[in-house]
Amino acid sequence: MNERLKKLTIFIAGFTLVILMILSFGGRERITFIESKLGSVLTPIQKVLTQFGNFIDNQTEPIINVLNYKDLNETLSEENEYLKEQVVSLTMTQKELAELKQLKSALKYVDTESTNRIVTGNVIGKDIGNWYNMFTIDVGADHGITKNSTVINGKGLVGQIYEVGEKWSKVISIVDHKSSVGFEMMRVNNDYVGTLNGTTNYELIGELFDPKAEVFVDEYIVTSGLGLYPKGILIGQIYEVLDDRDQLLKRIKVKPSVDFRKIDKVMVIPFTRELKQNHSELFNYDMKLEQN
Amino acid sequence: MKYRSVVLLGILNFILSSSLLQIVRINDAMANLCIIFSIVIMALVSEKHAYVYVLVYGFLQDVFLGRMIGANVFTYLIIVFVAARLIHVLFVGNYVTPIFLVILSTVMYHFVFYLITFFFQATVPLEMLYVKIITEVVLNSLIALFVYAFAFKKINGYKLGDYNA
Repeated sequence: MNERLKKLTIFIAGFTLVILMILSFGGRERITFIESKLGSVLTPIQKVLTQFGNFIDNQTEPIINVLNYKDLNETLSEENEYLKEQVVSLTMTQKELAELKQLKSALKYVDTESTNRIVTGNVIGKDIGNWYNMFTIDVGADHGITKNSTVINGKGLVGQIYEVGEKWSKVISIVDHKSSVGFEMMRVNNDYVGTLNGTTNYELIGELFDPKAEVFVDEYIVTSGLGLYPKGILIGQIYEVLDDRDQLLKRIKVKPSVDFRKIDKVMVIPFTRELKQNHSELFNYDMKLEQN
Repeated sequence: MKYRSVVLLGILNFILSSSLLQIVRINDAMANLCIIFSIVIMALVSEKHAYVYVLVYGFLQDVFLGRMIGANVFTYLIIVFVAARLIHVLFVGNYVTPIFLVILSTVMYHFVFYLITFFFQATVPLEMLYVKIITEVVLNSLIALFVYAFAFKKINGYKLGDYNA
């Protein structure tokens, strides 16, 4: 092949790929049959290797972290004290909740069914290119997973389903720089809401809708129910509060409760129509915020 | 080298990178085996073999871990194309060539990806990626050196940098 023909071939291939990028951008509702089947073949191999990798990681971690144990112990002691205080206040809240539940059953209120259909899965492959915070899990359309379903683990919110194959799904985490989450403060009074966006270095940056909001470091935040995620899932803890005087906004920096470097098991809450409606509400909020 | 072997190498490298090798992350960055192997294959086997390799690896990366189909394949194709033009004016029998090509390719990979995200999604604050990129450059160079030296001896029958051979 002469040099000119080679260049032309590369140019045509490049142009085709750009078209493909445009068509597939934003995630597809349905992936192709070939991709789905390819995933079904590769997934079991990846699963075994990932589990082996996790095993090695878990065995070697105590040795690597031996120097950090003193700091970790101090942090845990402080957290323990804080949690004891929380237990007292939560016990009071629990009594109120029990009363509310009795009232709810008396009124015959119907629960949303999505939380009863939670699907558990294993992480089988993680991002290679250092740009995105995406990973694949071993559950897919065959297990009832749909695009935009919420992904959580024992510690809190992980992300959402981006694309779905037969037996596997692609997950985009909340720390991805294009991810957006509606949040509210985890407190009884003065509940402020806003949106959070991911960054590339495992932290979240958020904007509060109320510029006069009073928020503090160490406060916990949860999903507000606005957007694609159901209400009340723990997102993380505020570690910095910033006043953006130019845009009359209050910004927060949040440390996610989930350790994204060590995810191996997740749970998926299927996407419902109710959440779809909330997503359009959040989009309208965002638009208003940008206009102001 | 048979094309079948290149395809298998691409699949194997992808599976290992996305699973087992995830535990070998330094500063949250990991080595990009596709860049390393495509440069080695391009320099020591042929440009065509390198294209086949990046097509397989890039496609798998796009399907299973990418935001859009084609972004990784596109980036890797550009890398092989540029590196193949450069290899004609470089001496393949020394240690500097693979290091130079891998550093250049890694920087190019991030630059092209930055442009793709700029046009398709949003501007990514680069200052957050500096540490990752520098770590990846170092990791890629070190691994490439070993892989290149090993492959060079296998293919040519004498050690890399052995000017008396």
